[in-house]
Amino acid sequence: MEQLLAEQGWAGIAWPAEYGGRGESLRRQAIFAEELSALGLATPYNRVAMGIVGPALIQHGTEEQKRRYLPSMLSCEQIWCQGFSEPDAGSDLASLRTSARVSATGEHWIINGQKVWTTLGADADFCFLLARTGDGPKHHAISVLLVPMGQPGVQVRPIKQINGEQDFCEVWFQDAVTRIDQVVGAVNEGWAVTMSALSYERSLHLLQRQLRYRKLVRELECATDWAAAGEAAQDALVDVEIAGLALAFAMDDQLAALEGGSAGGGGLSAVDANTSKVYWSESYRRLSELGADLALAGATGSSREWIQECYSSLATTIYAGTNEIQRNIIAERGLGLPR
Amino acid sequence: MKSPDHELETSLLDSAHAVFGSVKPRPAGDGPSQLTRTLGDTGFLGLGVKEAAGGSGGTMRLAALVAEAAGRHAAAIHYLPSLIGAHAAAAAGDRKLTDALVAGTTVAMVFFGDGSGTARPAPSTSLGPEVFYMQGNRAPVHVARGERRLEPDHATWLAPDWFDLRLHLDAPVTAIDTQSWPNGLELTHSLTAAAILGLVRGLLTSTSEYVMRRQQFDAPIGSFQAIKHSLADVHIDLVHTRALVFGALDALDSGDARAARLLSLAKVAADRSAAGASRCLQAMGGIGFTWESDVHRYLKQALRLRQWPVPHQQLRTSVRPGS
Repeated sequence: MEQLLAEQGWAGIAWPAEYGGRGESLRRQAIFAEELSALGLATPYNRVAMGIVGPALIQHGTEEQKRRYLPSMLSCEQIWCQGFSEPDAGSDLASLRTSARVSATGEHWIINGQKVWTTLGADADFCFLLARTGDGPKHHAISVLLVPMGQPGVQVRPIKQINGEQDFCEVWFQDAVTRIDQVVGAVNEGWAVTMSALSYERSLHLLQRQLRYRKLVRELECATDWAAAGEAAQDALVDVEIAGLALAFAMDDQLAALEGGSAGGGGLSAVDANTSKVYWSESYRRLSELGADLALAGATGSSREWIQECYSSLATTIYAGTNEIQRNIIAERGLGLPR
Repeated sequence: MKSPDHELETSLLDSAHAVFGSVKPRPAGDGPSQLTRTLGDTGFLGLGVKEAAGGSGGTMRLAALVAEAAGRHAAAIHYLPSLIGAHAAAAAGDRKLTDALVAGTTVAMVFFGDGSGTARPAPSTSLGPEVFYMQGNRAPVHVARGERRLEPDHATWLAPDWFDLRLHLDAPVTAIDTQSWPNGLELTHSLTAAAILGLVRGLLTSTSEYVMRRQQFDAPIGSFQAIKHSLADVHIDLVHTRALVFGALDALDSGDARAARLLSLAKVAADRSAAGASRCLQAMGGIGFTWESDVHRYLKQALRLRQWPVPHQQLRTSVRPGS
């Protein structure tokens, strides 16, 4: 499927044409994602590459990096993971300790440390790694390195999640190496590179999430015996329906703002994205819990699917910055409250 | 490049903020206030009413943006009754009253009756096939024969600048049936919802400023997460509810068949957002409980509009699946 999309130029609609994309707006890419979703087709498997690594390279990569990596991301020939969180650097990501130093010959970076919650870690060919490369202030001493995963210095252990899936991992780097030119953007300025790439990721992912949310609301609405479900459940459905509509209209506004954006820039502001993320994730948890409750009570479809949905939803208020951290950012940057 | 619509909205809103920002609380019973006359001069009181019917034209979206601006300055209660009254009067084909309401030389209150021949006191008004409006020549609204006049202490108990009303049908009212004002209820939902959002946003803004100034434990109280998270929640809710309210209004303006349900759901959502006002009061602490701050003016209007034109729980019940 991915290869077919890549061959036809549909894989990276907002990516530049010279690297296998179509050079169109983010909005068009989002509309295409909506159509795929309506056809019941899944989001791309190489989602870290599509969401973060590719846009970061388009914005900050060298010409050689773009030519070498972008086309194979679109075709799924090379799978990417992201090396961000660490056991002692979760919400406080910038305090990460994985280090990279230049080898004696000056030809390589030598990497030591541990990453965790590494999505697609077990399948990845490359890692988009945040590592400490300097002694300066913590946000200005981190670099983004592109690191091959298939080498003796890299070990991966999948982590089994509450929903039974294993799509993220722990990754250990012990004297792992990558070539000296495999740094994205300036050395020690990887934080800024990552933040700008994330604004693109947030935009597209939020759109895809809200589309899935609306699909689930429709399924619940149609498959439920509402007379049997009772008034409390009817009220709960009104709440999740309202949340779905509010998300959709907010997304319409944001898509209009994305009209001029492309994978090379643009996307939601951090505060807008955080606001949507908190609202969406908490609504989604309520929706999937309602679905699981109704399914177990025999008032709607498959309880297995809804329970799975309910367990999976528990991650959403934690990942991509916990909702507590998001609220701090909204209060500080959106309402102007002091740090 | 900004669209002409966008520029029109921006200049209208600048003007609305200037007008509503000058509102001062005033004693009840003085007839149409200077504000009402100023609103008449600006044409705000006829927004969304066709020019041929005596209104100022424009979309319902524009009218709602101005209602929201009124809310931001705790002036929703000065704007909504006459605006909705003008829509009602135009729907009834009463040109003389429409003109007076749009010009701001008289004010009105709209009551939604329950069809039994009585219109209940506005806070507990139930949804029905008839809509009543009445005009006044004194007070903000003069309630005629058979009605207990508003006592000053009654008025001041509620707020310095507005009060509750009770309508009896031996008063000189004009009744409008649903055929002549088919979307009256939806229209009232949309304007009231926008006003609630403005009220809560206005209060959130002033609360945010206050918690940055107020020091305890050698720090502004706004630096504490308990305050930050509570106010962030109000913001998150407002952003999304506002998208729904204005999305529903665009549907109404474009004649979308889903508009009636969207507006009902949007009003349910806005009613829930009114709870943000009491969160702001909590963040302000004791001062928010007094007339020393403006919190009570915002909060009372938000809580009151939550029950109007249809009581919140009743509206909620009406949008349940299968109802």
